[in-house]
Amino acid sequence: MDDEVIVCRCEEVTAGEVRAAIRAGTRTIAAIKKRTRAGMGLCGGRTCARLMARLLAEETGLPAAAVAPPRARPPVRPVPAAALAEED
Amino acid sequence: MPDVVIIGAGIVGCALAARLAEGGINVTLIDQAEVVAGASGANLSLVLWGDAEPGVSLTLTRRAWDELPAEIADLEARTGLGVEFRPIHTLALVPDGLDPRAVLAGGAHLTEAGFETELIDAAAVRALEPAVDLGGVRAAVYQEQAAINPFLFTLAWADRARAAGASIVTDTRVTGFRMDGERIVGLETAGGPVVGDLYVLATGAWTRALAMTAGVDLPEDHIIGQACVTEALPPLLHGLVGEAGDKRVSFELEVAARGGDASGLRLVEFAAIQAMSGNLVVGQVSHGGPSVGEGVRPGSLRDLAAGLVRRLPVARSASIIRSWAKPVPFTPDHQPLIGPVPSRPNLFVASGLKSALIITPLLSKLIAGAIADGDLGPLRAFSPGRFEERRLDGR
Ligand SMILES: Cc1cc2nc3c(=O)[nH]c(=O)nc-3n(C[C@H](O)[C@H](O)[C@H](O)COP(=O)(O)OP(=O)(O)OC[C@H]3O[C@@H](n4cnc5c(N)ncnc54)[C@H](O)[C@@H]3O)c2cc1C
Repeated sequence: MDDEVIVCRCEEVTAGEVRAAIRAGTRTIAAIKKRTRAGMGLCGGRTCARLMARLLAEETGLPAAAVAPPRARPPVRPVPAAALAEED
Repeated sequence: MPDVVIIGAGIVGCALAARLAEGGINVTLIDQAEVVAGASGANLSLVLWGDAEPGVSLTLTRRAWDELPAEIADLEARTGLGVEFRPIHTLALVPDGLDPRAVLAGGAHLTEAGFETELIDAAAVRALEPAVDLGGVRAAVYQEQAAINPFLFTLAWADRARAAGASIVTDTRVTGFRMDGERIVGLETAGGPVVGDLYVLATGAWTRALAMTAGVDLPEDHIIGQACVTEALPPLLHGLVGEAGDKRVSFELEVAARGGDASGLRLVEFAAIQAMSGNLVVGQVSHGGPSVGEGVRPGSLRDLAAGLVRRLPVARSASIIRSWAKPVPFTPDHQPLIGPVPSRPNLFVASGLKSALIITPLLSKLIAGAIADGDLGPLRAFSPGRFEERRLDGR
């Protein structure tokens, strides 16, 4: 993957930015999110978590199973505020 | 110089690790998860002086605020990370049933310290924040405070600590202490024992539980703060908009009085701020402990969304994309716990902070100084020794 490739479309984060975060010591997807905002957008990291896991495995040599994607937090899918507000 | 082992890589642990390592001390920083996994990444991003209690807290907060721009510039220059520090106004809408003058008078100590706190009318609120629906609110408390990106702020301190030689160990939970009489001689972790001369608890709301394993019961409880965030939106809010309230202190007292299980108690305090990325961060529904680690309750998410829709109707169709619940500690006198535990001479606590973001750059400097030369200085006011000690062995 080239450094210019956009890994996270929602937040426009490139592979290069994710690599820089990994080189600064970041070792999990949750930690990459905090540093770069990749995966923090509307889609909730649905596509980019896989790409981040791949970059993490490549850069660190960790097995793919060790770079687990973070646990989903409610709401699992984006919900309009007004719809949530009316739930009972 | 002692070898220092710090437990907890939140804002407090990371900043302290950086200060100590820069002073030439050998530092190991351990976290059960990763850097900024606790409350330090779960807050409303406010650099708040409005919470400072009269006395030493206020004096130190004043100094921390005055030094902050230079501290931030230094941090950014050393690490190359921009932490999105920016001045913002905070508006606390005064709801019906609260007397605006009384709310203002409650902040007299702030004014005395040179922190300007003013009452503004509805027209002025509308001029500052046109998107806000005031309902029947006629006045708000206006303060010029600041905001910061709490992830990047904490990560920058961690980078700085690492650059100065500190070693940061993540995914390693401390499960107990090896004792030799009153002295701690090592930490038990899943990855094996960790040894140092001085052990610092920078474990936020987890501090009490961990200290118990060293045989001391520290007077600290916690509430669980819950918040959520919307998708990125165009500029909508300029500062923080919240509701003035006086219920937090009594809520905390009730939680403490329940002792073991206060999870049925809850408090809703609306507040919203727009991050630089455009997302609206919406707080805060709190409930009593001890349930550390569970997610946001469905009813809490509903109340957060309802607050947003009521105060910012233009955001009613905005998607809520994430939510979180993290514990925040408090002590019986609302002052932090900082200093050695009297009966455990090489166990040092640095916890119990409410508005940690504003004060940590200064506090970390003072604590590092206290560790290096054994003198707490002004921090003596926060020493755990101010409370009668409760040891688990009953002595
Ligand atoms: C919803 C909400 C809104 C808030 N708003 C603001 C605000 O706007 N401004 C402000 O200044 N403050 C705010 N706060 C409070 C602020 O976030 C906290 O005061 C601050 O983060 C405390 O930092 P800390 O480093 O002491 O604790 P934490 O950040 O909680 O760090 C403690 C660390 O210790 C680790 N740990 C715990 N136990 C162990 C163990 N046994 N072994 C290894 N590691 C362990 C945890 O994983 C964690 O990383 C808010 C809090 C919440 C929840």
